[in-house]
Order: sequence, then structure tokens, then C-alpha cells
Amino acid sequence: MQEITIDWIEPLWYGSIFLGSGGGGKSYLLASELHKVLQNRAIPLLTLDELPENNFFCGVGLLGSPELSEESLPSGMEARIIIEELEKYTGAKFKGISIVEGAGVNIFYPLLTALQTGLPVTDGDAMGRAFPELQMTTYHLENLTATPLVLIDSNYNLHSFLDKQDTFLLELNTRQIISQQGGVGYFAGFPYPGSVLKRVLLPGTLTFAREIGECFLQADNYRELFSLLLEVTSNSFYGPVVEIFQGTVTSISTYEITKWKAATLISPKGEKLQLLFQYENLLAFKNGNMVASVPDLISAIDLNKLKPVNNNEIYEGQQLALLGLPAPLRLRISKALDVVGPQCFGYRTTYVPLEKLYWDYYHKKEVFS
Amino acid sequence: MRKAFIDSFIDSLKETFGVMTNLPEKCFSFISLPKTGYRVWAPPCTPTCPEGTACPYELILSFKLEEDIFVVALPKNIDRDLKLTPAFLVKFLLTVLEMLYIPEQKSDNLLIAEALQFLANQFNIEFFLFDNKGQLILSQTHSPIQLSTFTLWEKVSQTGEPEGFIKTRWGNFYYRIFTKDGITTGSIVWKTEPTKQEENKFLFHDDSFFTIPGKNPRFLEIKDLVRQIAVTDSTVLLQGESGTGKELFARYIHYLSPRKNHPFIAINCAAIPDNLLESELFGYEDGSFTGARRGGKPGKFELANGGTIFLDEIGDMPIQLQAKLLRVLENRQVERIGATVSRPIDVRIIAATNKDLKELIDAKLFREDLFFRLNVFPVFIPPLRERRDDIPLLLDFYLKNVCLEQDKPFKVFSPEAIQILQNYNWPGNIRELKNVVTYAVSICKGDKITPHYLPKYLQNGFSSSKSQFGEVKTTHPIIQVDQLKDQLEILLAKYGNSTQSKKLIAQELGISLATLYRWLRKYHLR
Repeated sequence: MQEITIDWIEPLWYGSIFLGSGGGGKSYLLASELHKVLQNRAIPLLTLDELPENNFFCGVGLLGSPELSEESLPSGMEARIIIEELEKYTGAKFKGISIVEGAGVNIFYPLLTALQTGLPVTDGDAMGRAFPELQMTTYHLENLTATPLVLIDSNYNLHSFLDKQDTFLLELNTRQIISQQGGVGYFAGFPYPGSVLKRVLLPGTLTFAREIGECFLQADNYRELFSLLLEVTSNSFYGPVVEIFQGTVTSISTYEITKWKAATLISPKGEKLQLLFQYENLLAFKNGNMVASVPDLISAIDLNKLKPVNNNEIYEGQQLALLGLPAPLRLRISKALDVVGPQCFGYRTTYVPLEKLYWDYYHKKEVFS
Repeated sequence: MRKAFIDSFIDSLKETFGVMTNLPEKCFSFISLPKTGYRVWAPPCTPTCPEGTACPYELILSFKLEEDIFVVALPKNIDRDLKLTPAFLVKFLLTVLEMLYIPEQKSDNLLIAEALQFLANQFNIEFFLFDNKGQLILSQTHSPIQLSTFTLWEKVSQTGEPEGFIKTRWGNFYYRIFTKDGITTGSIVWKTEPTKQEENKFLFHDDSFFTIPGKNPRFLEIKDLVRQIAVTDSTVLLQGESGTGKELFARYIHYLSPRKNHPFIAINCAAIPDNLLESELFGYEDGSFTGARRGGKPGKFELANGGTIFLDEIGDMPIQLQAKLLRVLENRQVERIGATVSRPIDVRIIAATNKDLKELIDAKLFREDLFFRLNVFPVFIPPLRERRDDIPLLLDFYLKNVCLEQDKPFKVFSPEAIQILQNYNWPGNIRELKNVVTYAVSICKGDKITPHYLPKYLQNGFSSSKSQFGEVKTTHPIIQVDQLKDQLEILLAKYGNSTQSKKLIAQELGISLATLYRWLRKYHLR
């Protein structure tokens, strides 16, 4: 069994931003908080193979605006409350914490919870990246619900969703509560035993996020960074990373009311890239042609700082490299595309895998015989 | 008798290729006629010919049959449909060679080899020569390989036509399947234009990646070692079971080395007859033996100059050739057969074997001094069963690639299927794993590959374990006829055709040998 120690936090932070694919929220304060707490402590990390078959785990995470959560940082105490509440309803004593969204803030929040409760954490998650809605998980693919689920809002009110409930509906209901009660909340739900998690969760997300982050710590220049990322991603359940674009941000939409946003980048050669995002980056068009689509990840790197950035850190004049990372296979089968494909975000385009969009790149030198 | 034969030969050439004419007298001062065998020119025949590119002929052929020399020419004609394509040329050469050798009764392999040699030397092409099992015998590529040669062979062998072209993502490849007495003996696949790299497709043109998937700690150590030695010029000896990816490692080393923009020439020492191997490796001088091409021919070592030569199955190299190879390794010079001088070469040598060379040394089948020369950097590639932890990653890797290649929606393996595959022993290693993935993708219509989409010999190890999930269908559908045929084909490809192999196949399928033979007859499988 591995342990998450203080050394994990910085690489995990960069990795969480990269896997956030533009979204996932700023996690700096939460990461620094963990950095403090982990000075003389460690969190047990269980690979999916190590999960005890019959022990129940519960998934925890933040719902709503991560920015608001930075204003009043969670203590992890609220997690204790909701986990205990969930235990009351399920009758199960939870023996570990599972990660629902392995990116952004929601990589770190379960760690804080684990520290508060003294429970181990699963090295696996149900999204493989950041997604905005509760039904966009691998649980959904196996027809497993998120309920029973307990939600605590920023006024410390508890809301319980105990019946077997359609996850789409649950998403609407929880979102309504969050928007009325301060814009941020924390949940405990997805109560399942190890035997179920083994087949549902995407394996190794935390380790992978850390490996991604290590690349940012090691690289001295962009070329080196790219090669390191290539090696790490090629040996993962994702797939080799590809460069989509390099250029300067010339405009970024500022309409805060609508979820439809876009940024434009221009390359030194005059090529134009349009990045469509809501919370996460969802589609990219280069000179009018689609060059990447959700669920594949589109992650931005600040070329001057050589660090990953999420969308609320993007500004006009910034030099970015946009990298594409093929999503894990399980997010790309038809049943998954029904909940995470471009159409689920309101776009009228269908998903095209990066490997098809960059066929030569992906097939030029590979040999498999 | 001979005249009748020659007349019918000329007639058949005319019939196949249209107009053939005699060559004008003035041309004879520019070409040297063959003393034996044949010779082909694609004009201009010599740099001194005053006609140059204005020559009215597309191809000139001269051959010697017993005492007579014949010269025929194929005029350029814009109205004629036939153009001098490699496909046409192979056909032409084979017709010529078949006719030439009928009186001498030489083997088909020699015909193919000669036609290939001509193609390789005269034209800027990429080609792959396969035996009947899809084993690559000989290949020439301009850049590190862009595609899976096994896939290429699979596509060709499935076409059902003896010749034509197949479409791939890398462009169209021509092919011709060779048969003897109705049995396929091999195939050649070639391409005239080197695969084009699309400009501006991505920014890292030169750094397009090459990875060998695997995270097993021992395998990672090997990859690290290989990366370190790749940049040196040292000889590497790759050892590992069949199907572990020795050629992949050889290409990986080449790709990571400063030689990556120079040729990578692979030759399988076991697949080429002993008497041909020497001329293949070292080349020959003009007139060094009967049938030798006029002007001589460079060997693989010369062709690999500046790059890397990969000697696969080195343990099968005849002992007398080993001495010659040793001299090349020591002096970095090659001597063509029949030559009086040596030519210096700058080649990195990577050898591979699945045999225990020390045992061969004890049995006096392999030279000890050669072994020490080759064994500068020994690399042992572990069999798949010794890195089981990599199996899920490899399954994922090949599943993704096979779905993309077959242009099918993505699929996943069910946990039960992964468990079976992780517990299996994989005697055929990665090659077998890829075959299993290809098989499963071909027959699975849905999103999820459950155990019953695996080849039957793997399903036997599956007991329908109770699932907490209740979602797994454990009832196996009746195996479709074509499914059984596919399974048999996979097993035949894996084990071979010998009686011993068939016993093994029957054992794997849990049937009697007699039943197996009945099934093979039923599906016309040999």
C-alpha cells in the first residue's frame, strides 16, 4: 500500500490542473492547506486491486463554485458530518473514501476528508478528468446511482437524497439547492463496496495526476516537458498526448451570464484556433476545422511559466500551448458519449477521437506486430 | 523445340503487355548484354546515351537462353493503358523469369527474390516480402516503419484476389500473392512513394513519438537501458521468446539513435535459404555465379550504410556465414561475393534470437567468438507472462488501436474478460495478445467485450464467477460458424500446421484430433 505524503502535493497540484482540462477549479489554497497538514502525516492510498471486496467506501466532493470555496475554505469537518449522516442511512460503516472527480479541487477535497476521518483513499476515480455534472461518471455507465447522497451547503444545512434517484434529476436538485444556499456545497454519496469500485472506477488516477505533475517540475523547457508528458501519457490508460496548438490568446469571452464561452488564439504563422469552453474546455477548432472534442482532454500550458493553467487563469496576450489527451477508453464508448459527448454540452457536433484527428501522428512510428 | 518455346514466350509477352519491338542496332553500343540470365533497363540505359530521357522505350529486356541472346523493348505509348508501374514491372519480370527458368527448372523463391532485387535496386520503393504465415522475410523501408507489417499481411491474405492493391491509412499498397500448385507460398506488398508526412499536421515533426507500452518495473528498467544504449553505436543482442517484440525494440533503438534518418534494414536469417542469405547480406560482384545480375548487387549491409541492420533469428545463421559476419563486425568492411576488395561500411548492428546461443555454442552450431562480438549489450526482453501487471495496459493499448484501425466504435473489456486474459499464459506473447484483441473486436458488436467474445481456447479457463453486479451474461451464445473458423485460423497461425501443432490445438479446444481434422476440412483450412 502506498501513502500520500507531503511530496505528493505539488506534483498532484499541477496534475490536477492538467486533468481539469480547463475546469475543475482553483485548488491552490486547498493544496497549500494539505501541504501544511501533511508535514507529519500521511494518507493511505489503495490501488483498485487492494480494495477490500466487502468494505464500503463513500465518494466525496465539492459541488458548485470552487472559487467561492476558496473564500471560506472547507475544514473537512463538514465531511465528517455528511459521512456520518450517510452512514446512518445506509447502515454501512465506511472504510475508505473514493474519488468521484479526479481533477481540480475534487482531487484534494477527498484527501482533506481522509485526513479528518483517518480513512484511506482510492487510487481511482469515476471521471478521469473534470466534468461539470453528477451523471458524467463511470457509475452511470454501470447503471449505478449516486444516491443515497447527503449534501451540506455553505450554511451547514444538510440535504439528503435517499431514494434511488435518476442521476440527471439529482444533478438538477442538488444544483438548485447550491445556487440558493451560497453557491458551494459538499457531498457524500456513491456508497459502494470495494468489489463494485474495482469494476467501476478508472484505475490509478491519483498516481497518474502525480506523474503528470512531475513532468512540470522536471522540465526546463517546453520540448522537454512535451517529451516527458508523452512518455507518461503513452504508458497510461489515457493515451499519448498531442499538441493541438501554440499561440497567443487574442480574445476571451467575458459574458459571465452564459455558460457558452470561447477564446481565440493566433499562432505566429497566423493560424487561428477557437477554444469553446463552459467550465471545461470542450471543443477546439483550428481554421474552422475541429481539432479536439470532449471527452478527450484539452489542457492549456502557459508557455512562459511552463505550468498548466485552468480557464480562469487565461488572459489576453498570454502565450499558450494547447495539448490534447485522449480520454480513457471507458469514457469513449457509445454509452459514455451519451453523457459526456459534445452533444451533452449543447454542441451540434459529434465526438471525433484525437487519434483520428491526428492519424499520422498517432500511427506514424508505432509498431505493433 | 527451342524456337517454338521462344516464339511462344515473345507471343505471351506481347499478349500481356501490348506492343513489343526489337531494339535498334544503335542501342547495342550502350548496353551490355547478359552473359547469362537476364537484364532489364529502364531508359536512359547509360548516362552517355544521346537519346537520354527522349528514348522511345519504356523498358528494355534482354535475356539469354542457352546460346541465344534476345532483346525486346517496350515502346512508350501514350494511348496504351499500361504504364510502367511497379505492379506492371513485377508482373513483367515474373513472366520473363518464369519463362526463362522453365528449361532450367529453378524454384519460385528464386524468381521472387530476383524480381525483388531488381525492384529494390532500380526503384525508390518500399516493399515487404512475406512467407505464407505472414512472417516478414525481407523488407526495404525509407524511414522507421509507419505501419504494422502484420496488419498489412493480414489485409493482403484476406483479399481473395491473387493480385491488386489494398487501401490503408498510409496509402495504397500493391500486392501479389505467389502460389505453387494452388498453395500460397508467400506475398509481396509494395509502395512506390515513401509515406508522406503531412506538413503542419503537428508542430513536432521530427519528434513524432515512438513508445513501447509497459510499466512493469523490470520492463521499465529494460526500456531505460535501451534508451541509454541507443545513442551509442554499440552492437546490441536482443534475446527473448517469439512475439515479445524484438523487432519493435530494434526499431526503437534505431529511432532513438543518431542514425534515425538513415535506413533501418531488417533481415530474418531463418527465413531465407542458406545459399541466398550470403548474397542477401553481403551482395555479389558481376559474374560471381550463374544467374548473378550484371553489375553486381549490393548486400543488406551496404544498403544499411549509415543506418542500422537488424539480423533477426541470428541463431539460425549457417556456421560458414557466421565467420564472414564476424569479419564484418571486426573490420567494419564488407566483401561482396566474388569481390577482391572490401568496401567500408558504417552500420549499427542489432541481432536478435529466441534461442539460447550458449546452447548452440555447446552444440557447435554457433561460433563463440561471434557470440562475444554480438553480446556487447545483451538485452533480455521478458515474456508477457513475466509481466502480467502490464496486461491490462497492453489490452487497452491494442484495443484502442484495433478499434481505430478497423474503424469501429470504441469498446472495453469487461472485468471478467480482463481477468481471464491476465491469468492466461500467453505462449505467443504480445503477438498473440494482439491477435486475441483483433479477434474480439471483430466479433463483438456491442460496447463491452465479455468472455464469450474471446477465442474459445481462452474461454475454457473461464468459470462463470458469481458477480455482485448481476450484469454479466454468463450464457454463451451458440458459436457462429464463421467464429469457429476464425478461431481455427488464429490457432493455426499461432501453432502452425504440423501434426504436433494440431495435437496442441485439439488439446486447447478440448476436442479430439479427428474432430479437429474434420473441422479443418469443413472450413477448407489446411
